[in-house]
Amino acid sequence: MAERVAGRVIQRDESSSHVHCPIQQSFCLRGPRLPATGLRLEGGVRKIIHRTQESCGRRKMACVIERIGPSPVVSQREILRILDPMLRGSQRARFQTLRDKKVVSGGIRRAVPASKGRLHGSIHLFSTLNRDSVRLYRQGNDIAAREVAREAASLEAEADFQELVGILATFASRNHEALRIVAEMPWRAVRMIEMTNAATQQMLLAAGKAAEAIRSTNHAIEEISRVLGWVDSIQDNLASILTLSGKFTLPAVQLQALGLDQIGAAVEVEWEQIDPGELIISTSGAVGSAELMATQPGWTAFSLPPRITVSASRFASLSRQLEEKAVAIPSIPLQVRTRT
Amino acid sequence: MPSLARFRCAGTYWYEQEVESFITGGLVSEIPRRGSSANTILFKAEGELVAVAAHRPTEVDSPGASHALKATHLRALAIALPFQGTKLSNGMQLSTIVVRAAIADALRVPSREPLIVGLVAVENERSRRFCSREGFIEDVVHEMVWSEHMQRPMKYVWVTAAVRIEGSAC
Repeated sequence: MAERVAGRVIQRDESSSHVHCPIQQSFCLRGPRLPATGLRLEGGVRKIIHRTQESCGRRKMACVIERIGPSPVVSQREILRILDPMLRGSQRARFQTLRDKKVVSGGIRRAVPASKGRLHGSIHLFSTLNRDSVRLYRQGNDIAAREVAREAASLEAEADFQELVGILATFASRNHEALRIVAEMPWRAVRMIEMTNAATQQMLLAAGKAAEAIRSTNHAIEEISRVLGWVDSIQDNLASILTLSGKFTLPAVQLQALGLDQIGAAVEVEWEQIDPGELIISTSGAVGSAELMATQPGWTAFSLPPRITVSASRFASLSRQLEEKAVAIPSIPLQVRTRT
Repeated sequence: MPSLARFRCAGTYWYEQEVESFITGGLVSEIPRRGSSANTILFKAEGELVAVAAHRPTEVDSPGASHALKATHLRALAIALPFQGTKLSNGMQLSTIVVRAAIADALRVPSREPLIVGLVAVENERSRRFCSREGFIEDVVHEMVWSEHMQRPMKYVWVTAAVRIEGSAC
């Protein structure tokens, strides 16, 4: 899926370029080297291509936020998508090649029990650092790739990581769909289990931050653009992402297919320049969805303000409901007794 | 209102405890300020408090909208622990009669449009199923709303229903 927009650079600072687009209002491209992609000329109109496929990256714009972190686990499929976004050829053979070259770690495998003690299947999960090691391998930096893969293996050996995989195995045992989610896109399961209790969320955050800490000290990975943030609002087909260093917008369609088009969803976005002026933007879920600022400050579920402002789409839905009045209830005689 | 302060409806889930603490704390403390218990409906059976509902008016607008909608915020709806899951003699769920009575009470005010809005914790699957059964529609965009009980923002579903009161008595 590709989203094409044309825009005009209206503002640029050290870390980002704000682009005005007549169709999608404004959005922001991040990365200190972005001007070199062809957006250097302020006022010049350039075509920017957003793609949902993941691929290798060259820059990093790490955003250190206390209460948000990357999903600490990835699947074999997610690792292979770094190597080839189209997942061509035999995935098994390709992954074995990566294993033979020692550019991916061994991961943790867990059996997934079904009811009555039968085997439901198994999951095989890896540290998120494997995405970085495979990206380095694809860029031809085999030595750095093997080094990062070793770091990934050390993270996977941690008790917390193994406990996390155990929790995901339990999640996967719910049904076949849960098993598929964990096996293919474990961050989706991570998003679901992080809400179960604060201790689980803290464990997930700690595991994600452990990977971030390694990324931040490895110069080879520093070259990848990455930012963590929360979906702040969705209007006019644009999702605003709130990060510690400001807001930027993404086409909402990029989040919709992943189920991340929800206010408060924690997301991880990666940028990759594949040619001057051409970027690949990859998104996935992150840890920390329940820990953000309230999107409706001053509200509680029991105390809405006397007048509330909602989005145009929500207002339209309310107006439509009022026209239809689809819910019919019989009148109920009430005995009203007011105490003073 | 001592019986309201002693009302118990919560199990182990945070969202149940949140409703209970709102009713026994927040709602009770509001009554002297408002001067009455208006907009709070107490359901009693043989002197025992079996359910509580609370609502209040709110206006909903949107940037660019020509007018605001005069809606009702259904603040809370809770069944006492011993009566949860109870059916009436006519087969109707107690929860159904409670929500319908709360809506009917809210709509006694002529200026209000028959539009009910509310927030339900995303994790509160039971209440979400109940709302769906009663005709409420969930907005696909969830809200992060501050929870006094949890002392942090929690995720809620925005639910709404536009109702028409039919003539026949229940």
